[in-house]
Amino acid sequence: MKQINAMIDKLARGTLQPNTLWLFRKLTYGWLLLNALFFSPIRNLFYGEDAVIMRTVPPPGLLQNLSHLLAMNRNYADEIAGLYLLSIVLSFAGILGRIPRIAVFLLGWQFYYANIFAMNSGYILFLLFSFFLIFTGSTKSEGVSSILSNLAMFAAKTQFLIVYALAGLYKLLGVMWVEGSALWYALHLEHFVSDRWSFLLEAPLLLRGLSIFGMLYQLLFPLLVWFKRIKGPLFILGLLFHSFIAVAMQLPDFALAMVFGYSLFFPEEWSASIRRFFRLSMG
Amino acid sequence: MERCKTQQSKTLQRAVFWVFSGFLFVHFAFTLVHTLPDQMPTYPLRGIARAYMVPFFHQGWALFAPDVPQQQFDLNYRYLDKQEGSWSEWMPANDLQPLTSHPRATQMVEKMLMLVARDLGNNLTYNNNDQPQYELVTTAKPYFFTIYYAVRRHELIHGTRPAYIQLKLGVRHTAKPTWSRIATPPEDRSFTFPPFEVTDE
Repeated sequence: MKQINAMIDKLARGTLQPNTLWLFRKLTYGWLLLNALFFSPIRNLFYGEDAVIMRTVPPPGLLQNLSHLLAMNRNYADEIAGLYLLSIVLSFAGILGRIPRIAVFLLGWQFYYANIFAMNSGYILFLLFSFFLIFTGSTKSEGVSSILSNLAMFAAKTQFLIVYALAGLYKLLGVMWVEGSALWYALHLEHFVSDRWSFLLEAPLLLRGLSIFGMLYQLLFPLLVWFKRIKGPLFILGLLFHSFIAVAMQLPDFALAMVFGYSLFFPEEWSASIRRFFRLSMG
Repeated sequence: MERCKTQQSKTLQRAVFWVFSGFLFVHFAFTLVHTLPDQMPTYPLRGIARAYMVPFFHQGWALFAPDVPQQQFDLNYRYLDKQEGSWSEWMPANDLQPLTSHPRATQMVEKMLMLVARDLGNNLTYNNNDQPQYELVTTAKPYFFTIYYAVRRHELIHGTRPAYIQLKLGVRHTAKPTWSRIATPPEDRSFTFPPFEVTDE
């Protein structure tokens, strides 16, 4: 019990990784902002009055109704999108504390339920991150606020590791990823992949190697990320893996989401350097 | 007085720590139950976890697993114009051209069709003399989503609402690589759904 109390005291003394928290917050709201802008040109067709997706009636319940406001009332798409964008910008800039962060979380789910076919897993991951970020205080916070900040960052890390661990586990339970044919099939998905990548189909060994590497990377990441010496190469390999997904499978938002998530595990000095660089760039 | 205040603040800090840690423990326990594969022993608890996870913590991390889809889908439709009294030619509807060429549009339609195909795959288990039985598929949500999409898309492009619409879903299978031990895919097939009367609702 003494050890736990000592740990609580340590958590209360201040944010353990203030620069990493700063960086992670900027990347989370930065990603959500990019995503909102990406969907902006087709907002009306995907969510608004002209939406090609059927209105849905949620199951009974207050939370269900709250999450389906846009799904039920498409006339308010512009207002909800405007409020959502404003909340993201305020959260990014760190203005008005937790209020815009709560708004981002609640409004973000509106777009998910208004068109469940449009968003991919990267969006869900960042909405979950935005939930944990509600509990974070300023990077200089102390006491209760600092405890919440530190635990929230731990929760975001746990969430990220769950993504990789489960994605790897699901792959392990199938046949394609284990035998190395997954990328063969993925490269045939016409709506994701353009013809220019068909040359890879002529290199079966490379395809098999990449498929198995993808599965192993996801399975091992949650274990290896805790070793400081391995972090650099691990992130570079992940960057290459996700860049391939971004370019070949035309899923840049998902790839960027995973790469941004690495910032959670950055050593404090890396985050401090990045923060300093941005400060200097901004004058 | 100062010491008493410090003690009070420590008690509050410890209380917050335990309450928030407890919440996170329960949260991630539900997350795992909600997202672990069906084969895991946590499966029977999924109903309870779902009540907590949906709507605001809903997630799934299969990510092209356990296996990557092996099919491509072609959605075609034709419509009956009441004034002309005849069916149109079959027309493709896999994308939202000319309304938009946004990259997410075709992926969105493909996801929708994948769900219809999943229903077809499940319900065709109960077919009669190799004739597809559409009753279960045409009363399910994915089919209604696709009908709505096809009608709305037609309305936006052509400016009229058809009286009847009929969907045809082509399923093309990816040829397996020579070195794969996955079963050889069945022949490509096309499913023509019964005509659907379009109402104002």
